[in-house]
Amino acid sequence: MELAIEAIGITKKFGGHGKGPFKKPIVEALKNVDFKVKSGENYCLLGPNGSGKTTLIRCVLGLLEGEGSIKLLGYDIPKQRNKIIQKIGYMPQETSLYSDLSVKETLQFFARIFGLKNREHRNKAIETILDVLKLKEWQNMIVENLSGGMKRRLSLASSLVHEPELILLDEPTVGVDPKLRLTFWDYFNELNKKGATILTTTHVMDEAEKSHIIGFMRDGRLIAEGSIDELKKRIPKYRKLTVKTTIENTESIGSLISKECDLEVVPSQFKIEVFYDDNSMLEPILELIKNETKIQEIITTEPNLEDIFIHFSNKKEGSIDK
Amino acid sequence: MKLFNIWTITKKNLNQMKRDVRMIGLSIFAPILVTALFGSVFGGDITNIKVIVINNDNNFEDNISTQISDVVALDPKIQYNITFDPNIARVAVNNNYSQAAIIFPSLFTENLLLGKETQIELYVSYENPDLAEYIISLFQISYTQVLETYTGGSNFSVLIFPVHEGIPGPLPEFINVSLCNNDIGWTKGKLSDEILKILDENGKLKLIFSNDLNHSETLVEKGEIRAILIFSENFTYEMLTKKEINLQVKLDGAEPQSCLVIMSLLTSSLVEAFSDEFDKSMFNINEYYFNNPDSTEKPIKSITYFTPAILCFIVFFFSFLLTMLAFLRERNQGTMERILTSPLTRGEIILGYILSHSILSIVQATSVILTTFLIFGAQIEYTVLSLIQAYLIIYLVVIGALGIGIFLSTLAKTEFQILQFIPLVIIPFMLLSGVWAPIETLPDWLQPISQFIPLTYANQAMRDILLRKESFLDVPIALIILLTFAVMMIALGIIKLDKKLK
Repeated sequence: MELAIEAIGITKKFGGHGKGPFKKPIVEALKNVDFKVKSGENYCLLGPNGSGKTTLIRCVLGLLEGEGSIKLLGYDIPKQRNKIIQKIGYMPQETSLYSDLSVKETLQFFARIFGLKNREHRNKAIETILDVLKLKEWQNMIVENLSGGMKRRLSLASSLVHEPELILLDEPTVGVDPKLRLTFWDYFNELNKKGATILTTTHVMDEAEKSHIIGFMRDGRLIAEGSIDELKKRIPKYRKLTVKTTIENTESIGSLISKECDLEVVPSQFKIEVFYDDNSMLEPILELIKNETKIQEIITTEPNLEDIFIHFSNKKEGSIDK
Repeated sequence: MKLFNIWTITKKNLNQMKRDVRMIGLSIFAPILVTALFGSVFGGDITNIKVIVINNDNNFEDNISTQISDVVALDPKIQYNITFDPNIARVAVNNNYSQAAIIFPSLFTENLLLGKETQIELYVSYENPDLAEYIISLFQISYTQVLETYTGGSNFSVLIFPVHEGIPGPLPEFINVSLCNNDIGWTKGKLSDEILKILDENGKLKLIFSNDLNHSETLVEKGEIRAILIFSENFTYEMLTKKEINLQVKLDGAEPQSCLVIMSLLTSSLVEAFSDEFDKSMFNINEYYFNNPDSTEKPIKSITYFTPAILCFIVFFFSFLLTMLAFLRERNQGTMERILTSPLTRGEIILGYILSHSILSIVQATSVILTTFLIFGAQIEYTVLSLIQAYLIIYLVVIGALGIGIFLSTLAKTEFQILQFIPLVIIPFMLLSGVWAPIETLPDWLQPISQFIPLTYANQAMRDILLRKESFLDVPIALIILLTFAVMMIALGIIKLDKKLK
């Protein structure tokens, strides 16, 4: 499959200039990151604040200069950037709008600088995006007077008005209410279905689940990537079985199960937890418990993103799990 | 480089300006205010000169001294204080309470009418030499006027006592003066040489000897030389026979301050050379001023002199400032990040800015021209051709200012840092480029620095075009320097406006 983004060995350091006592400390924001996004993917970079997501996007766009080689849509960045720049839509993390222009003027400006020269074509594109993001009634309003949510929508519209092939959105849903957030993600998925490659960043776990591929970032490293299902499976004994029992002391049952099935068991009062990965294991486990006590309730849980993230975070630094 | 992209940036800037009505209002009003201040502060005449008259003349009911002092008092600038003690008068001049004191001796009228020798003492404070010259000449005119009605009154003399000699203010180090000495002399030798010797020793004037009057006149008209001193063939002869000193001076009226300095130096050297032997009333300097459309008898008004330079300065100042702030705002609000990730090239961004800012600058230039014309009646060349050329120079200045603005805005991270650049750039540009006074009034060590300030050339070219009726063809060097500067600054701006965030 064709690669929309191919970044190899990206290292970016900040600071380090100055001499003697004025020397600024070096901060390594990205540490030898290999990062690939396939064409047509909906990729989400997930990581806590300061993990290097924005720096990575800026490096990929050629806004920051670091070590390593970057290709966007098959072209070298920053050398051949001019060839594909029109096909890229970038939404910075901050709202980044001219506060003294009207909504329509803002979109006209961004449509024009991204090469929509034909007036009719341009106006149509603006109409469409105004419709989709429900900004039509506010089109003559000055940006300064818009609410925060409307500014976010306009910021998004400004990045997408020229219908880019590759969309880079840096924390698109910061400061957006839950309802609008859903609209945003629906819209991203819709664009993705139409063929656009989307790269988003977020630090909110639930949001990332809406993307196909998730990349975990931590301390300037890409620590894991893949679809949610893939990531889950990579955790050994990732499923959890919780059985509520009638007897208080479950320790003897626990040691029995761990002996018989070779699984990790956490016994507690009126409750027993077993970690497993294969569903076929369930029956023998339950059989063992049933022999000892009466089962009151059975709960099986799959790990959520948080568990996955914590799992990968605890792994040794430097080893990238694929 | 696409016109469409350039116009996109321009249109966005114009849309932003359109929103900010107060900014538009201020950008038109501020130049008017600045010009009005320039015009009022520097363009005014001398007023309220305090003069003391000591009139001890008490012989006849109708005193000639009173008549003379009455004529002096006709001048609206003169404020009289009358006292009878000469010592008080002298002290007053000494302490600067009064700029001058006229002392008539007690038997003035009688002696005058009887043909006896008599003497008026005139104490003049030379702290402001121009003012001193003004008072002396006023006094001379006054007594000549009065004495015309009396016959035989040739036996009196005026003793001038200069007080507080010293030359304050921006006096030039060198002023180019052309000299036509046709004086063929007399058996005693050329008396003109005595004047020249004093002028030469003074060192302020750089005397260039020439016999080609026509060529010299064109040089003065073009502003390359400030004045021509013409001694007639009969200079020495007339002095010796008629006791008259006849001297002709042709000056560049477009440089009023230099004219004043030349005239006061000339008068003082005449006084120094001949006041012992010759009556000062016989000093006859014929002044002729070029480049003043109103009159050949005086230099242009100060406001006319300032107008071309104010044009350049205001346009430079405002575009420089607005550009720095506009670019800083683009970066701080993050829109620069968006523009830099768009297909726009850096050249297109800068050209777009130049276009929108030059529209603003032309509005400002027009409001300056209208203010100086309508309120102060400045007499610059109001022909279409010279105005077009003036606007083209303004354009070059705007481009240069934009380049510096962009360059410096990349060096500053906050508005506070931007603020520090204003005095750093604006003050030297204002003081060293000849806005207020000609470059030659600067101290020796500063003159070479002003050669490195592009605004110097803009002011020069602007004055040549608007005051001396010259055209682009006459100021090629200034144009080349301005153009080079503009191109260099834009290149610097483009380099600094790298397609990267730092």
